[in-house]
Amino acid sequence: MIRLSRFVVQNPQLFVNGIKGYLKQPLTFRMFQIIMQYINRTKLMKLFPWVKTGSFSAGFPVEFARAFGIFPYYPEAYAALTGAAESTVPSIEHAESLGYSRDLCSYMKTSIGASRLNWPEDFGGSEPTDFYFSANMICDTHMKWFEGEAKVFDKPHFGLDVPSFVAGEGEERLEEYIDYIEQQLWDLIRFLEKVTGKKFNEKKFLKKIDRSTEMCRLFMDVYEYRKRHPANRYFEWLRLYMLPMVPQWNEKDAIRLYRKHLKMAQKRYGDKKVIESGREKYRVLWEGITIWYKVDLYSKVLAERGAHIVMEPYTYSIAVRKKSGLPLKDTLRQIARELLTVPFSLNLDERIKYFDRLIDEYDLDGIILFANQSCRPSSTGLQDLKEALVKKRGIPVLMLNSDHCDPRAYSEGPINTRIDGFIEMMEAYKQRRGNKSQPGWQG
Amino acid sequence: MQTFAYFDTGHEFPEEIVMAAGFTPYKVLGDVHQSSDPADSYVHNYVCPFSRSCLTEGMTKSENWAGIAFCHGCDVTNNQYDIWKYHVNTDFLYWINTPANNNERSRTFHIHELRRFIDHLEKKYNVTISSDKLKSAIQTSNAIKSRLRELAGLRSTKDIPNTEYIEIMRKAVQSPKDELMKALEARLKDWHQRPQFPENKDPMLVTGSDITFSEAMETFEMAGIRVVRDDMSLGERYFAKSIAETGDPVEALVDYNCSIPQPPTRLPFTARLDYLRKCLRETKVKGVIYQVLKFCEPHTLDMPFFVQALKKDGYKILAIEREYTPTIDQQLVSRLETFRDMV
Repeated sequence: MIRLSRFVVQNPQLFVNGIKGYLKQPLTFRMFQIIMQYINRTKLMKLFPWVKTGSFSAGFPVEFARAFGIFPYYPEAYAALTGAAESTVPSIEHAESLGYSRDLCSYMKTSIGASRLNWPEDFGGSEPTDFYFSANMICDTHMKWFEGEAKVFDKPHFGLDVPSFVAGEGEERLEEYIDYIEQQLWDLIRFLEKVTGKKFNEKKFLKKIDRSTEMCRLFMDVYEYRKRHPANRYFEWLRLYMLPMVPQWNEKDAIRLYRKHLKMAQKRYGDKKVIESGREKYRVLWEGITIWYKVDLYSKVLAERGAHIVMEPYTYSIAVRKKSGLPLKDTLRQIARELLTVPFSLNLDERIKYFDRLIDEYDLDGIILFANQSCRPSSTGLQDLKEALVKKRGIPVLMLNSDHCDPRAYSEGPINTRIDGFIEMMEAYKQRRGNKSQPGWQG
Repeated sequence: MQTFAYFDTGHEFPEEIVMAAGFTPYKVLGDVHQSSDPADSYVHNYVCPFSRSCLTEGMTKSENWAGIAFCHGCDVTNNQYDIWKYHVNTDFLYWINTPANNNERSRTFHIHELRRFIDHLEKKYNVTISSDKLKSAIQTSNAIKSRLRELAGLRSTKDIPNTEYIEIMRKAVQSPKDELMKALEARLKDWHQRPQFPENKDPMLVTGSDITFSEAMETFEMAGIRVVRDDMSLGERYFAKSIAETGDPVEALVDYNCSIPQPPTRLPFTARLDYLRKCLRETKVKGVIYQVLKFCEPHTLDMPFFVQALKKDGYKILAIEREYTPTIDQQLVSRLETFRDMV
């Protein structure tokens, strides 16, 4: 609270803007409460010197550390929330003043800038932790960012090396990679035993996995209702709704919340595929990270034109745990498989097949591919994906250039103009589709 | 002898394996003088321009190559493999997942990766890559590295323009090895007879993104800076160490890879810093230049920490970003000249 109070005194305008940004989000009181409970616990943990803390990159299997009683910090999630609060520019610019290039990941710069300014987690900061954990299945930045922070604060770092499962490789290759990751997960257990001085508690670990799986399963069950007409939730909701899963930060409350929403969806839809026709003029898939600071893009610009984002591999990828109840070795192998096959980082062959399937499952009218200037790994291959989908399905695809957390890269006018064009393409596509599917249409 | 191409943003590729298979290894380095339009159709312009130039080379010259291999390097190489698979015409495109870590676990995995590569080459080209052939290739490689070390050592005592160094390094990774050996011998004789290090130049260490074309080196020359030490892949990373000639040759290749000056994509990143400090202890330089190619993430990520660490050690250091262009940037020359005046 001291850091937050100091931040408010030093940055009153930024604080007001941040609150306004948070208020723009389609958050229910309960969701806001669950998110803030975690943020507040994060701050509180520093007051208990006997509690060990760890910083984690997104996607790192956190259950291992949690089984050792380590409290997880997620600098990336704090940066995302700061993005939603439309307050990233000062911290990004501070990171740039320290030598971080404008071209680097804006999550990382938000976090490093805000941390060095000693800002609270609500505005992107992250205090030093006892340990650092990162993996490279999404990007090298994760690995280097956390390794760098560990070095700066002279703390141990564990880097999980996840091989790239490239196009053209099959199950046999996947198994080889699973072997490699499984071995590293055993190393992770030994690393944790060494740095905490505690013995690995298998039962406790498997229970953590059970709970994660339950949380992901419930999230996915709610997600399934997005296939209905209208979809039960849109991207502007999901992008915050998924947050409790990222750091597994408050599983019990998140499970209760997801269970409640599942019941609501079951009641609302029953067995019906369509409960209200015409509410969604265009059903759209968004590929890539969300543009955190521009909720209006989804809730106004697109929505006012009748377009709604009903599917995003990004949010889908967060619900990574798929199986529980397995013996320890099999659990480790299952985690390894999940790390290698997360939809967000599929290779081009698999990505094309996956999107082809999603077009039917979600009854899509268009696809927006987010070419994200500070996330080059997620931008690579988009042109081929676009060409393959247009060629095979004739579906309109819009490539949108900007940045996920840096509003300086967002050009309102040109983006809205391109969206207008995209809407026209989807209208034409829908009319053609009304008669018959038109493969090969070059929209 | 046919060439076998490889795309590798560090020095991860085991050239000796394709040499033992009877091929000339050829490192894809792109061409800064050619437009990268073909590649730009598939890769965004905010992605590493060097990689786009390499993709262009792949799209236009792959018919000259028996096959192509990739090594796991930076995000660019990892993600562009798929794009090469879609747009580069070749019968054989292979992925070697060189590990990001540098420990016993990753060593075992790396050995597996190299044996798997050997197995695929043997099957594809109907050749046998025996231990003896590998050992012979390692000996050739070591002879080259030894001569390159000797040549590079002369940079701080003789009048060796930066461009000559980069040209011989390009040749080292693109020419047939017997031809290269002759060129190295001739160059050694020539460089030994050169005048002493010129008084109007200042010796410096250059680190950061790989410099792959002469004009980038010419920029330093124009500012009166001589690059006498470096840790680049087209530089000391390639020849700083020799490969063990005894024992299992595949394991020797992996051990070699773990011991060379590390690229920024490998953990721990402090290994690279240690090598730079070693260079700075060994060779007296006036300053350090940390240069990054626009959009080169791994080096850009390391830069703030490295610059601070070396400054703390008491070295004068300049951090610059450069474009991928053969045009000499006069603004950059001015900055380098100012730095030179300062040191």
